[in-house]
Amino acid sequence: MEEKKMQAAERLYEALEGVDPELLARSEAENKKKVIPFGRWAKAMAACLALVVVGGACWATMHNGLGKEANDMASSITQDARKAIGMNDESKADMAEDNADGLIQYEGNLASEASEEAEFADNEPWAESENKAAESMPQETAAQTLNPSTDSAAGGDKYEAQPKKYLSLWKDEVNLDIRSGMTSGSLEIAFGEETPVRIKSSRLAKVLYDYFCNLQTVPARDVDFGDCVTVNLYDGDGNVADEFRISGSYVQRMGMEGTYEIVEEGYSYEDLRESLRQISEEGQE
Amino acid sequence: MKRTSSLFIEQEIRGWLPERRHARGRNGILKDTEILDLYFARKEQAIAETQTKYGNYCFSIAFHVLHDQEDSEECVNDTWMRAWNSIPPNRPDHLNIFLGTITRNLSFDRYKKKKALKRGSGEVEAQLEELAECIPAAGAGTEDAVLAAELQRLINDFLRELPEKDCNVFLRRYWYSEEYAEIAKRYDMNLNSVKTSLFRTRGKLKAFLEKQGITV
Repeated sequence: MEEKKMQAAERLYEALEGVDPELLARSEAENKKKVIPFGRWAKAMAACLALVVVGGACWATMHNGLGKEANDMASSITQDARKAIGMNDESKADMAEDNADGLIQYEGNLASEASEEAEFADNEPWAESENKAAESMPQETAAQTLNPSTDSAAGGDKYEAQPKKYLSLWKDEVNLDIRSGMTSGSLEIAFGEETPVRIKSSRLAKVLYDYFCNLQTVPARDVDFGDCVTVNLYDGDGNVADEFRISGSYVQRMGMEGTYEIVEEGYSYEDLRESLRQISEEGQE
Repeated sequence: MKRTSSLFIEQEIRGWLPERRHARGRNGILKDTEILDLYFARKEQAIAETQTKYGNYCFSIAFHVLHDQEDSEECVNDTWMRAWNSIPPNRPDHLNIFLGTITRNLSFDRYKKKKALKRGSGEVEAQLEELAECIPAAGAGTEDAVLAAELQRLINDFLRELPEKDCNVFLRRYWYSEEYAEIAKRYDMNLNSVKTSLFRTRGKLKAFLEKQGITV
């Protein structure tokens, strides 16, 4: 059996001579293919990878170096600009440091607004005194005057979202009615005929303080009653419980006889703020 | 069973090749069509050109079967003579395959003679033992054995259905009589992968022949 099987195997072996030449040629063709061992590929890939890494490192180094130089340049420009405008406000400085162009733009905005104010003021009789006062005013206050939104940014209520009204309040003779909601502890503030805006009572002093800070631009002696602010405090029934007229140099309180009595005179703005705080607290009580 | 290492085979083939290469410059190798034209013109230069171009190839085939340099050289020389006698009228499309087939047949004939004299090479015996696994269980060497031509056709059908790589490995092993290590090196395969591929292909061939209902 084994011998027969071997004979059959030999027949099979011999039969393989009739294999299609195409199949044999195919095996030969594959033999001609250049077989590159994995080791060579690995070396080539490692070399490419090394090139990429080195190239990336060089690029990153150059990029960082240029970026550092740009930052240094921007920082020097920012410092120069700050010196030029005499800025002391760190927050504005930080903002400006973010972008030297932003700083230039900010400075330009200040200049343009100042020129607009100057044009407006030239037509007013009190313009000269205001301009003089503005020149002598500290930079921080001037910035608040020209762009009150920067100061109101700390608030976050609706009043602070209307900086133009704030400025118009300063320009025009406006009665400021502050209604104290005794029960709710909130206040409403209205500018002229505008719809009253509800603000927190704790903000009262700040609002008025900011208002009188603006009035600071007008010398106190030149302020008459036309420039004052009437502050009405209401009781829970909506009746006027107390009434004050506040100007840049004094606070008047309406007496029982219907006349105003000066309750504060020659105060500093810190005193005014404190007085207003007391008024606010009294109104809430 | 005596086995010759593939390294030894390579050394033997390489040791045989240079003197043939030195006989003719590499750039002077003719194309197959030009060589065939020489055969058809009945110019003896055709044999020289054939030896220059396919001497290594044919010697390699013969040596894989016989593992004997002298016998292999004789087989190669017999191949040139057989080719001279068959071209024309034959004009093979693949001259190398044509010559290789002649060499293989001659080598295997010589192997069988040597085997009869108990001088056979172990490598071919190993291949035959492996091929014996492909024989269907119905019988072997009986009178109803399939004709050689029919068997060749069936084998071709089987090989065409195989994946290309398995087919190539099978042919390198049982047509070119190459060792596992040589095949693994040629196709950049693991040695065990070659063995596994051949084992599976033999099983498929056996199943194919059984399905065809033939007896080898």
